[in-house]
Amino acid sequence: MNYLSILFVDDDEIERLKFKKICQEFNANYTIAEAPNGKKALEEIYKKNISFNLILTDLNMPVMDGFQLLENLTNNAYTKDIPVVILSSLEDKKNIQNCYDLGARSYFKKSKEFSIHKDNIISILDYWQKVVF
Amino acid sequence: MEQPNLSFIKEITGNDNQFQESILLILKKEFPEEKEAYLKNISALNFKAAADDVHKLKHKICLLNLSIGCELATQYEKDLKKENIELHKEFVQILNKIHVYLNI
Repeated sequence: MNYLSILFVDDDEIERLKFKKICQEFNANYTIAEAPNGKKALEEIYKKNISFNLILTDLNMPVMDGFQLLENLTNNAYTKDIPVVILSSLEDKKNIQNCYDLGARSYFKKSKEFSIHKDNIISILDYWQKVVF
Repeated sequence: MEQPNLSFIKEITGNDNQFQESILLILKKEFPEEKEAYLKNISALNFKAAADDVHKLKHKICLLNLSIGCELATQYEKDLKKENIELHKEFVQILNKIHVYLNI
């Protein structure tokens, strides 16, 4: 059985709880690690030497934001091939374009409607499960 | 005038009472800290930090199903980045309403 190894990065603890809950309900094969900012995310990747095959990240975070995290991942041979999906409430075109320029694979606006948010997460997981394996 | 309530949290948590309790515990712990940080930063006219505080508080305002408050916070976060504090008073009224609701 192939398990998708996901790193979820968001400074909002409730967002992290919601993500885990959706994954649990979806009942698929995932392992989830979490980090509250870009710096902690990099620590998860390097210090724990975990091979993640999907990273979902917020943009607006303290210490190291999602843009800096993306830049760091893209510029490093060890991490440049890990797909990064953005989940953010920022919706202006400049930020979205900036993410794609920095190497993001896709960009989802966080929906205030939980059912839409949940559907988006499930679509992301379902898609990358098929792509990775 | 809209009042905070748990209907959106209940939509997220379904019948999982433990999950609902976890969310409420986080709200009760983080909300007063974030409110205090916002008030401190806005008093010091530290607009960038205040905008970051509003961003965090906005999630909690939305979670408590205050849809008008959520829109106001979204606009205020944008305004603060342009150093416009016109919505401060209304924003604080929303925070005070939540403070009372959470019985902190």
